[in-house]
Amino acid sequence: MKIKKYSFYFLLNTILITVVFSLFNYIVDPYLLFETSRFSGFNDKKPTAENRSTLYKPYNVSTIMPKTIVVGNSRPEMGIDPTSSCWPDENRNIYSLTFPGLGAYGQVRALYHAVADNSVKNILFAVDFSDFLHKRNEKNEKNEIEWPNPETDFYQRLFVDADGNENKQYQWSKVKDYAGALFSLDTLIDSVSTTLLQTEHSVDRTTQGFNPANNYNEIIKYEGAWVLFKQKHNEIESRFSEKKLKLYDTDNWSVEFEGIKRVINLALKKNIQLIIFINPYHYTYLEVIRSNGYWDEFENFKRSLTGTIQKYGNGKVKLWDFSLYSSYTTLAPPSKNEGSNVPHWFWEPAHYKKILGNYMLADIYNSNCVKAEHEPIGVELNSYNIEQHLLNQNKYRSTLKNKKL
Amino acid sequence: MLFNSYIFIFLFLPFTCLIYFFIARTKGGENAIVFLVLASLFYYAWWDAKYLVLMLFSIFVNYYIGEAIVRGHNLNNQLKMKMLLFLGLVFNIGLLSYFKYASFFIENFNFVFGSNVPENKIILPLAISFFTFQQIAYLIDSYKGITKEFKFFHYLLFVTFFPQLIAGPIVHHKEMLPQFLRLENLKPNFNNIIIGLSIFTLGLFKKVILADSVAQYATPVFDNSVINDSITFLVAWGGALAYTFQLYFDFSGYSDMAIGIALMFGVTLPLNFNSPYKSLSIIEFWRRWHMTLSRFLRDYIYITLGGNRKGVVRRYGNLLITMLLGGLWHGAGWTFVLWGGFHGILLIINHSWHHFKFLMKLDFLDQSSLWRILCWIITFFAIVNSWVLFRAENFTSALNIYQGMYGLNGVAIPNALLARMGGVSNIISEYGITSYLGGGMDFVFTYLWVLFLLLIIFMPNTQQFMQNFLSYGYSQKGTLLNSGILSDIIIFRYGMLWAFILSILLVFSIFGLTRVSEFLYFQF
Repeated sequence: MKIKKYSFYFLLNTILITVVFSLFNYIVDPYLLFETSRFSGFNDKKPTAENRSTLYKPYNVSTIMPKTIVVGNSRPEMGIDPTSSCWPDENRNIYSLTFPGLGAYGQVRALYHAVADNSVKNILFAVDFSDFLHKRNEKNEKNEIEWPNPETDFYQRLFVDADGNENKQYQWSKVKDYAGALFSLDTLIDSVSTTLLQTEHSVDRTTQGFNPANNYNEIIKYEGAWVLFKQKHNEIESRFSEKKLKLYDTDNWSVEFEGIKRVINLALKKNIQLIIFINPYHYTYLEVIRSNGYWDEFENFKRSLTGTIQKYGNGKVKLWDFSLYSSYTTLAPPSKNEGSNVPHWFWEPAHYKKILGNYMLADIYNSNCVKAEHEPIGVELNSYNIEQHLLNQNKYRSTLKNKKL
Repeated sequence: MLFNSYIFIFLFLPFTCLIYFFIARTKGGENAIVFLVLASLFYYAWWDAKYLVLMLFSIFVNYYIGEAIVRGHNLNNQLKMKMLLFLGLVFNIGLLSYFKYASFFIENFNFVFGSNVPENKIILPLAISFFTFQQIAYLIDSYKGITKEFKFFHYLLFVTFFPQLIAGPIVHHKEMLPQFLRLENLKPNFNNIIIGLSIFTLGLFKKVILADSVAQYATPVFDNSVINDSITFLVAWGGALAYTFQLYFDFSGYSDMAIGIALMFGVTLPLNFNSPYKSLSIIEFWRRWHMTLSRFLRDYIYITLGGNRKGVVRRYGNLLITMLLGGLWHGAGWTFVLWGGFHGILLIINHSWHHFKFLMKLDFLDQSSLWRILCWIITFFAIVNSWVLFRAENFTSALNIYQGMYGLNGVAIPNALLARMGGVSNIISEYGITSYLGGGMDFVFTYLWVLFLLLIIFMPNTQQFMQNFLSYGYSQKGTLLNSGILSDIIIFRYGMLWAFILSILLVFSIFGLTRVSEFLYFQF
């Protein structure tokens, strides 16, 4: 073959292969960016979207334009189902704007982004004690986490910057992300993986941003539920065994509480119904907090939340505490011998199941979608009942301690 | 600016190439050389403009010393030449010592004498080790009368030619300049451009797809080894093997890209890798790994020390010193020195064995396939072990990996894997193999990649693949699979099949550019 003919074929192949690969990425849509149709057995499940929520959720929420958003980390992503029957009808078109591993600051910024186009009327904001704790310097040094945080790729995907002003990088960022999703090797590998991993237990993210936790069922099936509990327990232990974790810096300032304050102000300004709740934990999680000496700080966390909402909320913002010792949270963790017996309310100490999420929604919205009579799963907190509530919890624990803890 | 970046591939390279040949045609070769120098300086400055001044300073000084040496040569003034060479060596070694080794020296000085001399916190200027060595070689060659240069821009191009500026190959003046000045190289040669592009594609694929993919399984193990002293057997070996392949595909990929780019300008750079992991001995390995550095160490250190001319003991001593310095060249740290020393000892053992084999008339062993496989296993085992020292952050980290590799922390496999093995899991447990939670996918993919890359390294290398178009003349004697059916089949020819395969490799590599990572040898 002559060199010119070779060069022609080389160029033609390169163009054709590029087109085929990018078309495949578009059709499979592994990260839910293009919202192409889902076909059962081909691209219905989205296993590789698992670690890409900061990529696709900001764009998804702006196209879906939901009336209600759930904001938080992986706990509400797995626990609060946007399609649950426990949501009031007037709240519907719900999107789970939840990001595994993203701290409270990032969640607040995502919330700013979601409400920028004025479609959102209700916010259910799940907060996590662990997100509010940081190592603070002993001397009078400013906390290293400030407002605004150093901008990463994620923040370029948001309509607004840290102060609520228009983000001028947004369009360019969108072009880069969408081009990356068409012309990148990672996407190609993930597209192929997506088509291969279409089993019952494949990881998935629904169009509403929910994580049905299918993969947990596979681990439970093969390795037993104890593995999930054990692994997460080790992680929690490692997190809380860190020393000198505090809610506030020496100036009595915290980026997370600053975020809560700003979210409250925004909700009031835009006439959005804001409900904040503390995620439920399995009692073993609570015991780790206690055994590492952070129980007082945990109670202060609840006090501070109550105080912040009291101060800025004008009585329009609600706070629910689900992080309780209760009959839901104190079932014994699965043992090694139990095999694939599925734990009822929790996947593991830190992540509750959607069945518990439904009970929480029933409490919050006073819905009768679950068993009509059930022990309340949470307590609505305010400055009048907070101290009594904390006292009750400690009393409740001491009765349990004699029995099974 | 990295070779593996959009800006380099789609803007810098094509425009530099086009403008170079346009200037060569319209304004002549000298102007084209000036342009290529400016483009190369721009390429370097993209990384950090302030070190451009340092590099230019080094080039100015070396050029004028070199020129003075050449003039001394013409006047046959030996004393002047010696003094100038000495001055040049002191300057270059001093510059390198200050920017690369000052912290290391001060740290050790403080440790030995208990003093508290403040450390020199200087960022290592990119490519300083390479352009310094290249210029030392130039001065010595000028002193020996092997080469000479009177045109400053020619000298500038010799040092700064962007394909080899950052991480080699380390080139000699006499093998570079004549190529630039050849008239036919000042016209675009379609064949050179296509072959250059093909070699560049192979290198890009090696770096972006092979090295960067397997790096995901090496880096966590070495990072973890800094604090974890209980790394188990299979995890430790997985990390060490993954790094062994990462380093090879990263650096040989870079070298292929450099060769490919240079060829587009009509310049043939020397080969830097020739299937080193197929070697049947450590001696053979060093003939095939980072060949231009080995050439430098041999010509300018080993031979200068006396080489093998002063008896066996001095020869081995020279070998050890050369390798210790070679280790230190890679980085200012004792792990690098020990790595060099380890290879020095391996080379001494290897030479001694050759001597013994000769005396005992055991050469017939080399004809046995089984013996050759055994030699390969021993050599590869030693190489993998040595890379642990090379990669580890410190001695503690290296020791933690070695502990794992030698079974001191037991053998464990992920629980997820064990749980899926059915009845076999009980048998495995009886042998004392335990399980751990998490990391199942990483474990499986580590060994899948290791297996895949082990097969890849036995494929024909780039020079074998391109032998019809770019002949280096290196043989594969002294390697496992030194000939075979694969090296006869996998040869590049102009045809539909290779057009298709290379375009697939190119598209994969371009698609892989979204995960940008620096070349490992940039840190040296």
